Amino acid sequence: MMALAAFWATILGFGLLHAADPARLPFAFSAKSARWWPRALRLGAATALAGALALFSSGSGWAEGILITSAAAIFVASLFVVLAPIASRFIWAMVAVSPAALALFSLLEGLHGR
Amino acid sequence: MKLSKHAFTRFWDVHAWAGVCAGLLLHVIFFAGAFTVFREDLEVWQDPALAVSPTEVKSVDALMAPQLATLPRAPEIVGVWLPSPEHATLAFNAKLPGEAEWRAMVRLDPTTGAIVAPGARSRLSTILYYLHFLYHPNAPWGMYVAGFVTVALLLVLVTGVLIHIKDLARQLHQFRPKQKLRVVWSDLHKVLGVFGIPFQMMYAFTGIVIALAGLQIAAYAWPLYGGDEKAARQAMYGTPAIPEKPSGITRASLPFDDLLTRARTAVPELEPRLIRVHHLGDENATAQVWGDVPGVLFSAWAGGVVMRAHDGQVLHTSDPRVSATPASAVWRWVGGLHYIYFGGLGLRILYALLAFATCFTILTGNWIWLERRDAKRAHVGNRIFERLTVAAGGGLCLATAALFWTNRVFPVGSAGRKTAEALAFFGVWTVALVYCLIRRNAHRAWIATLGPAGTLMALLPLVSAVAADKHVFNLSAHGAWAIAGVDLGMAVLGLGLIFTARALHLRTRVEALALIAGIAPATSHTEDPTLPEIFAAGRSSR
Repeated sequence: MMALAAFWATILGFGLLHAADPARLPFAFSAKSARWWPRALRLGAATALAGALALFSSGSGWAEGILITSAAAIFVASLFVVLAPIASRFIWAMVAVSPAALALFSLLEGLHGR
Repeated sequence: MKLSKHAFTRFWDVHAWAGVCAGLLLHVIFFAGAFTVFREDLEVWQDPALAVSPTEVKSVDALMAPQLATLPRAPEIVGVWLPSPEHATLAFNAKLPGEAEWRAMVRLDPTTGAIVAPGARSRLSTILYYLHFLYHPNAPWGMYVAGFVTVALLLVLVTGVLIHIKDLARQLHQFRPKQKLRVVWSDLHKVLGVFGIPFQMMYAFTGIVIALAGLQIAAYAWPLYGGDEKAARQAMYGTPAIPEKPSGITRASLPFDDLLTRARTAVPELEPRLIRVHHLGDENATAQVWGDVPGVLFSAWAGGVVMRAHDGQVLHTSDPRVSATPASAVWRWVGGLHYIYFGGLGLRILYALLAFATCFTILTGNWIWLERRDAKRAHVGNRIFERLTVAAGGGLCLATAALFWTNRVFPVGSAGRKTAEALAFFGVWTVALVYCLIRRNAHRAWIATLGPAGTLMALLPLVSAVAADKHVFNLSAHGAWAIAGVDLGMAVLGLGLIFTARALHLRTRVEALALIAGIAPATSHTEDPTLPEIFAAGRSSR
C-alpha cells in the first residue's frame, strides 16, 4: 500500500512539473495573469517527489528508497511525456485523482499497520 | 554549456557509429533482460508442476540422501538450493568428475521428497536468460562480447549526453506525435533516452563489471599476482578460492543439516539459500553456505560461510553488518543493482518496462541514423542494416511469442520439448530475418512482424487456459497467481505491440497519401506537415 501511495505521489510530482509550463496544459491558460504559477507548481512537484521518496524509504531505508524513487520517477516521466500528447485526458485525469489516491493508499497502509 | 562545432561533430559521430555498431546486440540484451527479471516466475510458468505448496524443510539430508545415492560416483561439486519465496521446491544439481557439463537441475517436493516434473523440463527461461548475455555453454566467450558491447553503450550514453546537453531541458518534455514519423522517432529517442540515462548508465556499468570479470581476473593475474589466478580471483570477489583438486583420501563430509547449523552460528540471522560442496566425501572437501542477511541494503545473497566440510571449521565468513572487504562490498552493490535484490515485484515490473523503453531508444536511434544518412536507402549496406533493425526489433518479438506458444502447445514431459522450443525461437527469428530482407517496404515489415507477435502474445492467456491446469481463469490453484501474472504480462505486452503496429500502419498510409498529394518535403523537422494537414491533403487527393 505504501509503495502504491508513493507511486501516486510520483505521478502527482511529475504532473505538476509538466504543468509548470502553461503551454503543456490541455486547456488555455494565461500565464500573464498568474506569474507565480510555474514557481508554485515546481515547488508542489518538489514536495510531492520528496513525499514519494519518504514513502518509498519508510519501509526499506533511505538508500533503497532513493533507488526505487529514481526508477519510479524515470518511468512516470517517460510515460507522461509520451502519453500527454496522445492520451491527454487520461494522463491529466491520473494527475487529478493522484492526491485522492495518495491519501487513500496512505490511509489503507495506516489501517493495515494497526 | 555549448560545444564547439568540431567537438559536437566528433561526439555525434562517435555516438552514431558506436550506437549503430552495438545497437542491435544491445537491443537483444535489453529485450531478453526484461524477461530475465522475472526468471523465477517464468520457471514456474513454463513448468506449472513446480508450483508446489511451500513447506519448511525439516531435514535437507533426508531429501538429498536418495538423490545422491542415484549418482554413479561422488560429485565434484554439488549444489542444493533451499526453498525460497520464489521457488517452493528444493533443487539440486551436480557436476561429476570427468563430465564436462553440469547434470540437469532436479527439483524436489520439500514435503514428499518426490521429484517434481520429472520429464524433460522446459528451457524457455534459460533461452531468454542466456540470450540476455549472449551466452551458450559451448560458446562462453559470448559473455565477453556482451561485455564489450556494453562498453560501447557506456560510450554512446556519455556522448549522447554531450551532444544534447545544450537543449536537454527542452527535449525532456518534447514529444510531437502529429509530426512526420522521422520526427516522432527522433522525439521518442530523445525523451526515452534522456529520461532513461540513470537506468541505462547503471546497467551499462554493472553489466560491464559482471560480464568482463573473467577477463579482468586474467588481466590482473600476471602483473599483480605472478600468475596466481586463485589469488586474483580472491582479490576480485573478496572470498577465498576453493581448492580445485581433491586429495584422494576419503573422509566423510558433515551432513547438510550440520553445515547449515554451523553457518547460522557463524553468521547469526543468516537465511541460507544455497549449500555448495566441492569434492563431497574427500578430505579436501569445502562447503559454502550462502544466503540473505537482513538489515542491510541488497541483503539477498549478502552473507556466506566457507567451511571445511569434514569438520566444519570455518575458513571464511561474509557478513556485511560486521565487516566487508572493498571487493565484497563492490560486488554486493553491483549484484544488488543488476539483479534487483531490492524493491520487490513492483520494482521488477518498472525495470522491465524501462528495459523495453531502452529497446525503443536503441531502435529509434538506428532509424534516425538511417534517415539522416541515407533517407532513400540508396546504398545496399544501409538497406541491409534497415532490415536487420526490423528483424532484431519485430523479429525478436515474433520469435519470443513463438517460444511461449511452443511451451504451451508441446506436451509437458515429452522428450522433444526442449528442442522444439529452441527450434521455434531461433527458427521463427531466422524466418523473420529472411522475410525482412526480401520485403521491399521496411515499414510493412515492421507491421508484419509486430502485428502477429502482438496477437500471439495477447492470446497467450487463452492458450494457457486450454493447455495448463493453472492459469488466469483458475486462480484458486496453488501457484496460479505467478502463472497468471506471466500470462497477463504477456497479454499486455501483446496489446502494446498491436497498438504500435496499428499506429505504424496508420502513419505509413497517411505519409503515403501526403506524398501522393504532393505536400512538399520539409526543410526542417519543425516545418514538416502536421497530421491534420496530411489528412486534409489525402482527402483532397481522392
